[in-house]
Amino acid sequence: MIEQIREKAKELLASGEVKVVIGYENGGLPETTRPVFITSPDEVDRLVWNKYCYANLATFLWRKEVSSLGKPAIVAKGCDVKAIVVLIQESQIKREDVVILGVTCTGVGDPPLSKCPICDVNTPREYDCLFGEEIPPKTDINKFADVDEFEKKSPEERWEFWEEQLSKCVKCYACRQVCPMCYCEICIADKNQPQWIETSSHTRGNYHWNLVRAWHLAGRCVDCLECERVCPVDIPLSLVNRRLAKSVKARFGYEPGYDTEAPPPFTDFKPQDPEEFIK
Amino acid sequence: MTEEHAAAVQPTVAHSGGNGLENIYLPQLMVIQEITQETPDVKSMKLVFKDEEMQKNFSFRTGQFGEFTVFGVGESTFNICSSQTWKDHIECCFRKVGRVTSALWEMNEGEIIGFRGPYGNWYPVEKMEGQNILFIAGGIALPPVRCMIWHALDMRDKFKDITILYGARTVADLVFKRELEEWQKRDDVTIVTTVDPGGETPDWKGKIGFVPTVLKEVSPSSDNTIALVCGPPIMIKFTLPVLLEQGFAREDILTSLENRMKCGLGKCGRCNVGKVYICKDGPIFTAAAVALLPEEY
Amino acid sequence: MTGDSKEKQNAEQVEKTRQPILKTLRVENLNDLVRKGLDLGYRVFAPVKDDRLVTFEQISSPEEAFLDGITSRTSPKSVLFPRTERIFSYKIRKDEIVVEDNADISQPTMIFGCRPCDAASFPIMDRLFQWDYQDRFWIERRKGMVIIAVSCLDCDDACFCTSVGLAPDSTEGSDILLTLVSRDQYLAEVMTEKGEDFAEKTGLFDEAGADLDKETATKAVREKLGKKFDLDKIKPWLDENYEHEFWAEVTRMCIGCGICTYVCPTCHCFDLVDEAHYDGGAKIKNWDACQFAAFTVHASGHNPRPDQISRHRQRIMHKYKYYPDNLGAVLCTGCGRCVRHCPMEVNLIRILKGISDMEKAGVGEE
Repeated sequence: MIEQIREKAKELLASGEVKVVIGYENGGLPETTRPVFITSPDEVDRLVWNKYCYANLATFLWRKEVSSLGKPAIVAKGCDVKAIVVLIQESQIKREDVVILGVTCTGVGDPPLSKCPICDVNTPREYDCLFGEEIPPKTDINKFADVDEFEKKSPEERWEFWEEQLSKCVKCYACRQVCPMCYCEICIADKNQPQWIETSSHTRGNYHWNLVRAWHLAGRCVDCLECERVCPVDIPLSLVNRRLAKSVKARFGYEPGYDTEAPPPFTDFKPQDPEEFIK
Repeated sequence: MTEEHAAAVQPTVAHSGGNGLENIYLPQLMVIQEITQETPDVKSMKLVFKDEEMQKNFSFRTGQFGEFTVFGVGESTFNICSSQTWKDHIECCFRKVGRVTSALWEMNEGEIIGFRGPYGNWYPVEKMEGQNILFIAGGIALPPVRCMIWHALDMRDKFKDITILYGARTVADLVFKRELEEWQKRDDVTIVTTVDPGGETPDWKGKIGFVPTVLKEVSPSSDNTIALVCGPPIMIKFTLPVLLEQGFAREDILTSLENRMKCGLGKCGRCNVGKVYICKDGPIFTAAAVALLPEEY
Repeated sequence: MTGDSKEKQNAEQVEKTRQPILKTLRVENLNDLVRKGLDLGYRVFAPVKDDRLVTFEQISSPEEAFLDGITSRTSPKSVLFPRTERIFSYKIRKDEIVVEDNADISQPTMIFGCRPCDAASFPIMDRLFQWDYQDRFWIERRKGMVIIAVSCLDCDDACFCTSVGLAPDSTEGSDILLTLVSRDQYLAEVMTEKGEDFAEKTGLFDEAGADLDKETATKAVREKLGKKFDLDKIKPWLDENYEHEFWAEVTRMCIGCGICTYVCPTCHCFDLVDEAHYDGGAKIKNWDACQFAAFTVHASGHNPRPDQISRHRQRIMHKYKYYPDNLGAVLCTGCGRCVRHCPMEVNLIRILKGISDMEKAGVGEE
């Protein structure tokens, strides 16, 4: 499969159709890969594809350090493609400005990350070229099983759980920086007029940050799990993200990342939208 | 964070909690004695220490800066824009642009702010004595030059010709207008004011044009002259070549860098540019020294 | 001013350097060592494991300490330099403001079970916090602190202490360094008076026989570590190559998170913020990072380091050029945390190896 990706990358670069291919190369540590930005057809052999291709490269589509290189092609797993779809929906990129080199994927990590067993996009839903055997989407999965389980706890137990988890946060903002959806020029966490979010990493400041981060991703998070993967203190961030995703799905019948044409629920109004909160 | 603390309450402290070392982050209290609105978004303030003894004992060198606290809001870095020759108060001048300056803008005479300092280096006054001095400033950057202007005027016989070139975008943006007029009237100072094209008013009597252009026109001699240049990066960028053309050596051109700072003490890392900490090694540098820095200012 | 304090500091360092006193500690007495520390009134910080995460935490019994890992996820710098700390507080009254400097920072503290790379970070950081202005929060805590480190017998691919002049058994910064030299015995190198004093008080250490040496014990790990780049080649290249296409090439994948700086034992940049309510507040010192875009941005919006490539270069320049220029030490102990935990595998070792290779090649041409 990697040979075909390299071949395609070479062709795209040689023809000038794209200026850069965003993909993975082998990392320096064992069992790692590193994002790589190939600009010359001679360098395509650096590209690799394996189960350690964790990173969601969609974040590089809007980073100026990469976008300044010119039109990209991007190697993307199904979950990464969901992020690209949201970026298109939110007008951060145009569909025609990116060549998606979709790869079918049976899971990353060893053992696979928690997102993989409940994945329904082993074959990406949107691509220009597809690499690998098509894998039919799983149908009998409950994406929110762990959320359901967590919700059985009492409010006190949940509070205690989050208080402990969030007390670990060091405010390194890796969860924000790695998130393909966190493309704001100036994050609300960096705004100080007024100071919406306390910058200190005491319990209150940590709650401020982590809850605001999650809320800003409601209806937008594609559950690529990058925030949770990179968190240096192992906070189960995806549990919050998916709790919100569950609500959005239940209330609006919407899951982000599947359809570039679908109007996101928070930018759209339907007369039948639930409104029991307006009393 | 606001629970009552049982520990002893110390009024206006700048010293330790027992173990010998001072808390270097602790501010002194200062009273806002007088506020002048200089432009629609610039104010200057006269400040005195709340503690009279401290006021008597306080000394600094012209060109140094301080960290000014609006309690409950934050700390901001300003040049002390008064001269070391003035003993009864210090002055600062700021544009309402960020969180702290916006809060400071709302404060009234008699209210209290915090002050840490003086920090940083100062103008090499001894080197400047016996020389001509050319002051060049743009917009809100007059204050860091103004402290040295007054220093020189207070010790007028120690310096030769004093020339001031000051420009702003519009007439309304000129700061310290009263003082500009006062200097205008003196016969021991040459002062040229200018505003950017389109920034003039019908009764504007100064020049019209950008600072570098007007500098070329004025063409001051570089013989035995030290130039002090402060202004926005773009002004400095275009003024420097003109000065070099006039024959100024880079060693005789002084400027003040305005990198963002927090601690002012060479610890927090924010103003680190190359091996230099602007807060410790600066803020005043010769053009020769600036040329050696990476362009991160 | 700078010159004076440097001399003073050098004098202090000279004073600290002395011949180690060699003692032994029986493995079965290791827990008692911690217990003694607790009994003597020390706050004891040690690596603590929770699921996969190992961090330095205050412990109340020796069983809580976890000594088996390579390095903890976060470094023990937080003991002296907490990620968030109130440095004074104040009350806002009607006509006055009352400032209270009431930080209690002088409790005796013991760091137990850190690795030699972490112990070595403390004297490196001393240089900064004692530079001109004396930061009492660091210095006073440091005075009351005893560091008992444990030599490494294993490493991983991210470790590179031997490439920055340290070793898996270096005594730099330790008051007592323990090296497991046999199944039931640690060799204890007592490096300082503080360490000697502590060892004395515990009564757990024995005189060491002349036959004990740690070299044999740590030989395997030393060999595994090897040398990953040539430190001598780094600074000369950095001196000349602030502008170089290499920077963009090796850092373009950096996403500008603060992980490398926050897990680093020697990154020390901080922010000062006010947190207040209507009647009072506090000045808080928080960790900050040169990797954040907001770190250097002026109020006007101008940012002197406008992209991630320049921000990443700053981190490396600061550690391997600016800090050595100003304070005479490389601001890195080779703990490898930034390499291990970087989400994008930017990999400092790769960058430094690249630099050292280029410099070697450059010298070869001349």
